[in-house]
Amino acid sequence: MQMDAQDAAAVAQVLAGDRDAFRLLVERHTRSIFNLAYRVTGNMTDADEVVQETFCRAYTKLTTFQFQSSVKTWLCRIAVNCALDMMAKRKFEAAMPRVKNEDGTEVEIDFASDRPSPERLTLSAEAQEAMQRAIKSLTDMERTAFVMRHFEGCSSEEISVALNQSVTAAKNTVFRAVQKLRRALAPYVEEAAR
Amino acid sequence: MNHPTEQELTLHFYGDSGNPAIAEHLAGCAECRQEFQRLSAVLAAVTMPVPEPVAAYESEVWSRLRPRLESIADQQQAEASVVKFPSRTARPSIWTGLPRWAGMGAVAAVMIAAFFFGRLWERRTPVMSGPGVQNASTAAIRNRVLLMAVGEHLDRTAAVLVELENADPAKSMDISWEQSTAQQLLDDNRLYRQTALEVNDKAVADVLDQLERVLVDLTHQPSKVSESEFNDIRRRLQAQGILLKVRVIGSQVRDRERESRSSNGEKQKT
Repeated sequence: MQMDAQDAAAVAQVLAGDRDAFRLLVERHTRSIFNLAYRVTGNMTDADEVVQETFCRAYTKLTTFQFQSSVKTWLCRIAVNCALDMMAKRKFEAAMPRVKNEDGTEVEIDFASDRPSPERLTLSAEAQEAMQRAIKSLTDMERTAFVMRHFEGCSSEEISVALNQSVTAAKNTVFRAVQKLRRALAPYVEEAAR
Repeated sequence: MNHPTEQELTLHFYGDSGNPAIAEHLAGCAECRQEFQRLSAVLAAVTMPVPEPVAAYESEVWSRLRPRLESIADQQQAEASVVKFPSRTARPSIWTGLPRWAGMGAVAAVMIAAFFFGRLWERRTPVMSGPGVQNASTAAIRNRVLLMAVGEHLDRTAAVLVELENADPAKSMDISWEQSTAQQLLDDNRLYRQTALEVNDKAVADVLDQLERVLVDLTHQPSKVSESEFNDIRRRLQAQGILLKVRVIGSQVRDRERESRSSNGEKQKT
């Protein structure tokens, strides 16, 4: 992927000592990192924490940035690792991710509780539940690889680098996720198509 | 060509098959075309909607991030400085309030950055090093940074090994978390081992070398293992006594790091 000129200039400025130039990278890439993090972690609180941690790690590692690749891809790789760390941490904390209400009480976050998009409305409520169950049945690695492939348009090479896998293993991970989703959704999709 | 497999069709859906013969085959094979359409319909239906953050989310992220970046920069400068080295116990941590996983990862990253900054600085400023004084200081910092980073690394590794040691295997076990953690540790481990060799710290390098083989072994297992497979992994770990070695060398590394820190303090007083 080509290095974006604005990103390259911002990185060079930060490396030259202009700390505020990092703001440009934050403004340009926050949303895409948030989207990725939300899809991987499944809730806003964790996604927001991943965004913060991604930029902190990126800033710390900026001297290791290779100017041949794009900043977006590089940040995406860091975000994926932050999100995986976050999910590993959550495994210790509870079986299901929880966040706090304004009054301090904990609530359970569920993918199915999100407001459905117009696309999702084309499937029945039952099908949507099946999709949520299927998404939850994916391992952390499968969900991350699938999100990178399906929503972020990352190549198998990019996924393999982010997940520290071989390219073949990355392809297999995406495929396992697709198989699980397909098994769960195919009956509903075929019914809707009739 | 033969009928493409489901995996090949999946790669084709994402434009990642790298095989133009699949498109040609689909054009001529109604059965595969129908299969591809079924696959495409399912994948097109998969959505994971993301709630829209507030309008000024980027500015809000930046305002929270900026003080943290300043702390990181200050920390890096302090650790790269030859005048003063921060004490982990005496100085309040910049990671206070952050989750433990974030702190550990970032501390390791800062350690590595500081370590290599030290090496780079040393290479670039041979003239300023004076009669051996500057080089000696830089080498001392380099060793101390390595010891601190390795100490943290061994603590994290021991935590994973303890998880495996204490796990109660059911009929099948999902060890994907342990594998994912082992993979991250493996990358750090290679770097630390290489560095330990460069500074001739053979004892540390040997344990890291053995640890590397253990971590590689762990990452190469299937993510779901049967009870007997899991017990095999555990037996191999126990046979090597790796957890004990990690704890012993970790303790030695921390002692050496404390000695190094206090000896640096003495030198500065004089």
